[in-house]
Amino acid sequence: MEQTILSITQINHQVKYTLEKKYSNLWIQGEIASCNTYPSGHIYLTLKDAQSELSAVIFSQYAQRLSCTPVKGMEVMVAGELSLYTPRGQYQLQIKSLYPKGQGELYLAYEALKKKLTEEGIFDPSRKKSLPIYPHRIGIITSSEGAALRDIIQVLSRRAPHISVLVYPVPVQGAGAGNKIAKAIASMNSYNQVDLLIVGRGGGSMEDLWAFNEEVVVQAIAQSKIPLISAVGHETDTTLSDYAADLRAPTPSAAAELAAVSREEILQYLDTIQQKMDTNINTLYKTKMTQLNNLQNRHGFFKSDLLLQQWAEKLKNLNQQLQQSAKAALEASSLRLHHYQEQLQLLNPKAILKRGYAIATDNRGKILLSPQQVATGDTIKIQVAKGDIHSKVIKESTEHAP
Amino acid sequence: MPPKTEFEENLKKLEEIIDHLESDEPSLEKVIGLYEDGMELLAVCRSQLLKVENRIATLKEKNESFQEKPGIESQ
Repeated sequence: MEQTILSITQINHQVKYTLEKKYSNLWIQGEIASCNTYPSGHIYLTLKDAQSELSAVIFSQYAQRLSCTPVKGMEVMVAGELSLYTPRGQYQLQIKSLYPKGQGELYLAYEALKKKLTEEGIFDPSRKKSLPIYPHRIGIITSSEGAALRDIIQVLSRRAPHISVLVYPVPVQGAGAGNKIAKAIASMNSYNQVDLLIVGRGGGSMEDLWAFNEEVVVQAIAQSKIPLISAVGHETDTTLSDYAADLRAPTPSAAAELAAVSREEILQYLDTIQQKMDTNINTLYKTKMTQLNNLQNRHGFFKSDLLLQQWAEKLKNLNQQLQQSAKAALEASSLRLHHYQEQLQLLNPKAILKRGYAIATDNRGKILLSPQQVATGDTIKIQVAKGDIHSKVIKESTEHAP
Repeated sequence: MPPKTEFEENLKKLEEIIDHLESDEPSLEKVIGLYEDGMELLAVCRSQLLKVENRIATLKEKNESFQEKPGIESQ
């Protein structure tokens, strides 16, 4: 079998490949023997223990995210992978995270629990409950002594004085804190007198915040039926409680801001609603008014009006006609009356006397029509137009043949 | 999730009224009714908001029974 001859570059690349494949997920503990930061932002270190040394590098992208600054002499726990710097043929540890000794163990526990709970689905986004938009009463689970409670209450009384607060005081660090926090969450749920929970504490070291990484707390948060906001430490601290909560607030004050829409904003919203209602009813009023006006101007209404006018006119004419004919009738009647009067006048016996005729009556006043009614010597009265003549019968004649 | 707050309910009703009002061609009688209901709800909501409360109480637990005490009590 022929011996393969490799170039330096080839062997270095092969070793690099082998190293990276075999030593990809390491946790290493040691002391920093030297530490230099370069303008590129990369940090070059030497780690050592009693017997050996190891070259290491923290590339700038990871250097920016370190939770502590590495210094010479520091006992540390680091996570990373082995690789080979091919131009020099030197192998080195590429560090991705670095913790002071002690915290490293906590971090490992944190990672292990996070992995376990993730697999259990505790952090599933589908489990997250929506928060009430207008909570009436907010439950706060934190220390009665801490700044967190003061901050939350201060923000709430400024922004949302209409919201009441129910505090469940708990120790937030030290032995047993986790169990007490978990119990408080469960108790608030069984008491069921708040719309929303804020669970948290102010800033502190990783150990101080540790209770919020305990499984019992994370499980209690996940099981809360009341929507829950976590507010642990500062912006940069993320605990497992934050992953399980329905909403993670970067700080306790921020939790209060996120929990409640400010009263002014709600009042403004109510004004908007009123404005909408007013506009709506005004528009409708105008529309109906226009409809009414249009209806009034329509032919139908117009027609009846016209008819009424026509009828009135007709009635007026009829009235005039009636009056005229009545007057005419009256005039005709009075003319006739006059005529009758004249005729009657002619028939009046006294009018006959005026034409020279006379009426003779006997002493009893009886009109004389025949000579036989009187005897010679009787007194008779002859009535003429202008008076009476009293006379004596000289001789009665014989009656004329009719 | 606990039942919605009274305020939230009222606000929801108000939003429904607006939807109704903005729907096409509701009758005038209905609109007047809705408007009156709306104004009443607005007044209720405003008074609920302006009733300055911010009441603070502490929940105490003893032998599985709860008791509220005004103010902040230490743990």
